[in-house]
Amino acid sequence: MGDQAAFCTGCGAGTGVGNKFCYHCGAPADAVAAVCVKCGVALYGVPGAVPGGYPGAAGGYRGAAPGGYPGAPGGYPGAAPGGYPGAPPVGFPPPVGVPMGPQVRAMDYAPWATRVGGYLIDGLLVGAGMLVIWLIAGTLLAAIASIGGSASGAASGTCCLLILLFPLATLLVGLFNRVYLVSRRGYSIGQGVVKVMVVDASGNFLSQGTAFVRLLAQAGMGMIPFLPMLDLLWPLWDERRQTLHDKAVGCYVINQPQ
Amino acid sequence: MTGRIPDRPWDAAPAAATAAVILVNAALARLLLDADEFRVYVAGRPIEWVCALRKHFGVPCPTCGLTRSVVLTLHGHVLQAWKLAPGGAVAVAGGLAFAAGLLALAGLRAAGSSAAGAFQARLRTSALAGTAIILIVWLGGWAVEFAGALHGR
Repeated sequence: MGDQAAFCTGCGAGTGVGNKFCYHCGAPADAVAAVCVKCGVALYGVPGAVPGGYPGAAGGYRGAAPGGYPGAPGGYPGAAPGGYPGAPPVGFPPPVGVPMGPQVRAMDYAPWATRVGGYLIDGLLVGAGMLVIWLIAGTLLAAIASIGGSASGAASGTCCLLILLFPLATLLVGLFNRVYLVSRRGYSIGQGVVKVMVVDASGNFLSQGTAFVRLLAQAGMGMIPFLPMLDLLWPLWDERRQTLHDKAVGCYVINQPQ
Repeated sequence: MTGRIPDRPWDAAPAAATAAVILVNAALARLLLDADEFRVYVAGRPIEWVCALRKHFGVPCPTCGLTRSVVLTLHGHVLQAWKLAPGGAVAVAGGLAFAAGLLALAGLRAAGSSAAGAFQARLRTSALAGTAIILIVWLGGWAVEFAGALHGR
């Protein structure tokens, strides 16, 4: 763990280095967090919310640009200097080096059933992707078979395609739905319907690379019998309600702020 | 912070459970399945499915020989498996190595070792590199088979 690390890589406890507190609800927040992990209010762009300036603020922070986040219209209503609604008492944030405990405890983890609802909706999208690929590839195979004079060959030849359809559709649909959208706005289409979002330990949206590794981890688990079931059920007994593919990249699924 | 995977650690339990599922699957497959160059046997009974693509078009599909290759590797016939479908042999080796790595990680976590964080980072990088290698070997092996089948027509 580096001297400036905000959280212990071993146990996840906050070190107090660079910590700040949400001006809205008072929950502890990482110094580079774009949103409060408890109430979801945007921390970026609020004067005084980020001690010592904000890394990358000049170029815009990924996924958390003003207006890019629900409730972050590029300036907090009534955000007069030193007079935020519900502002923490004078003295916040505490001196550097004061331990504050595991920050993740402040996260409003999404319930398992809600997550499953999102999975089912995203699964329907994968199903739709499978249908499109099936129709295109089936048509091509039928055309090839008709040229060769073996119509029955096309009908049975497409069965091999079925083996590849699911992973292929998962990857293609996932690249948009679970990589691009999740890194861009924090949630996939299904997660948007059930009002949950994916954040990292600091409350930031995932980078595209991290979201891709998360997708890859889930797809890889899907190829090993019984592992997808374990992956899906793991939040039921996990303290942070993470699936295994969440743990693989250190992210969390939380309820979207109201 | 941007652009890299956070160092949030796996706990011992999920790492051990994932490794256990992989190893139990391998053990069950070795126990219940057998294979030769031509077919797979489930509890001694042969599976007579034939790849429809190969049957009707004379070329292999990407998954042709993969099951036989995996089963043969699990029974220790690695060279035979490699000749059938190199991807299967590499996938089994990679899966078992990953399971061993997860068990080692779980052990380090349970012991509270300070080396666990660095080990997890190395394991994650290795897993990603291994996945890429498996995909390349699998698709490369299939491409060679495919080209051979076309050439032999």
